[in-house]
Amino acid sequence: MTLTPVITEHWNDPTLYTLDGYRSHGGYRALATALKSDPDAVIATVKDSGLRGRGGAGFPTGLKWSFVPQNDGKPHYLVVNADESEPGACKDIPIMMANPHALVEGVIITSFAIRANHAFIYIRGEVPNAIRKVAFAVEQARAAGLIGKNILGSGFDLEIVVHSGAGAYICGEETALLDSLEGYRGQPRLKPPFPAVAGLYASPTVINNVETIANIPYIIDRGVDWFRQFGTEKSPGFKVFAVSGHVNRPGIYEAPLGITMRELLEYAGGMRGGVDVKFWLPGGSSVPMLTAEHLDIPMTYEDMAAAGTMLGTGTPMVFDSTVSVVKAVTRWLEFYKHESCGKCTPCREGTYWITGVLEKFEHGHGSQEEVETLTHLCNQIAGRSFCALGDAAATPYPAALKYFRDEFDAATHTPVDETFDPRASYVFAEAAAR
Amino acid sequence: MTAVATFYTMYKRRPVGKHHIGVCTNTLCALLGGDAVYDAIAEHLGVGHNEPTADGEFFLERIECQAACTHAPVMTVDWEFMDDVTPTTAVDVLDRLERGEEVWSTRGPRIRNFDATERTLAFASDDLATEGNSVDAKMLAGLTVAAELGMSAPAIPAPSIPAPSSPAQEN
Repeated sequence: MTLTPVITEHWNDPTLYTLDGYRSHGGYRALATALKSDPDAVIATVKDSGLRGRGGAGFPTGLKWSFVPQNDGKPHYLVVNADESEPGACKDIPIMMANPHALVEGVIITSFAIRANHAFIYIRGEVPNAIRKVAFAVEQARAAGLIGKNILGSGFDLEIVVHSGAGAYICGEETALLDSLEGYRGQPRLKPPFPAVAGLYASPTVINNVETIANIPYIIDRGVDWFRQFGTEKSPGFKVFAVSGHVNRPGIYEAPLGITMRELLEYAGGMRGGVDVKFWLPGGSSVPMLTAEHLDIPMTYEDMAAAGTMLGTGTPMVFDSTVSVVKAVTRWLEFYKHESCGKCTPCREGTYWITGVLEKFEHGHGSQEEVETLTHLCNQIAGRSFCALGDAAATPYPAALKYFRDEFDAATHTPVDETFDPRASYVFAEAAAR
Repeated sequence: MTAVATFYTMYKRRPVGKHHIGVCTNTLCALLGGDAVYDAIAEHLGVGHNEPTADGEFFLERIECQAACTHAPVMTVDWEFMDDVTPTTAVDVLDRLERGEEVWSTRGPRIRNFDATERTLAFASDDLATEGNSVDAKMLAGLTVAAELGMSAPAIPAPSIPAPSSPAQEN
């Protein structure tokens, strides 16, 4: 399958982040088209396109929009989830730094469709350079009359607020994000009610991922038939894949959904030093890992699910055979323990206990009994907390155990750093400080 | 107020000093060398996680995934990207900052100081959007390969909904 740059097509134009640069490649043409159309027609087009959320869950975007009640007298809000914090996910931040107007144009069109006059872009605080690029794009769009009152003479009004997060992974969970935006601790809400009915300030709210929204101008401008040339029936469209890890050319590769990891690896220059793929994760640390056996599975929502994992954010992390899976999983659990918001007991306590036991394995002090303890702990968390963070924390270990049981066995007597010299995994040649 | 301030890791309740140094030690960065980068910096500065140096010049923090895994191992200086660091290049950045030399983010503007970045975040804006380079070879990796292999997306069709009054029709 070939590479198909769409969102990334003009990233080599150093002026793309400016309004003039974006317009020189057809930018804001879709906005004019949409505003001449009808909000319901825009929703119908996005529904027909089959676009699915690019934030990880893959929920059909048009369907999500259609859940917003109309003529209910309440303000509607669009909130863009730009809190990209999933370990391994690194595609929204590049989109915002390179092509921020695609996001802004998508926000205006989406707000028009769901009849929102106020939109928020919640960007994680750790990336000031993405924040300033998006803020600059919003400012330029406002100065050009593309945001504000009576946009392009359509009678549609919109304000866009760029908001900085303050360093909490959980705020990538949509209801935690809403609480954070309202000024509280970012802790997930119990659903229902769903945000489409009672979201930000208890009003109907659509929350979409950056890449999802950045797709909208291209769909509106080029049409459903064009869009559906990419991908599969259930996973139409293109995807900004960010390939990281032990590959020769890590980076951003945009291709149709359905491309395989083997093809992506080839475009990324193959594995460093020709060393084998040991394990890889299709989209973030919250999806179960796969191995070299799975390189030919199409990267679609449905095929990844059939393989027992998820497409997730579509940002594959690839690790070679120098890496200890025990160490990798332990580090991910330390992350989930740190980022658990503390609201639900199974997640708050469970991540603490799993991490403690895994750290024993990392130091070669695990036991066969504790292999089972970990499985038991994961089962006690999965499905037992408000949001997906708990489920995510219960994901890495069972997948690792399924494919690499022998490493957990070895870690009952030998520290992983003795079995796997950490220096062998480094991507630089210089001697380590230790 | 305390409940919120203690919840978010970016709200610091102690002075941070002039420069905040973050080293990603989440799984991917750590395994690709982030642990060695962190160790080298900690040794060089003589401080540990969440500690400032005695002279108030630096504050070191182990940070979580920065959404720059393609550029691992990743360091941040006042939250600006310092991509693809090694123990040597990371320490060199600190030395240059300490000498008051000009240091640029690998994908962003000139390094200022922690206070200045905090102001950027508070107002979600500053006047530095046009400064520095935000797109690098790794972000263009796929585009570059596609150009080499003559690959592109299917051609753009003629507009499906005619918009005669729009001036932006030509392409």
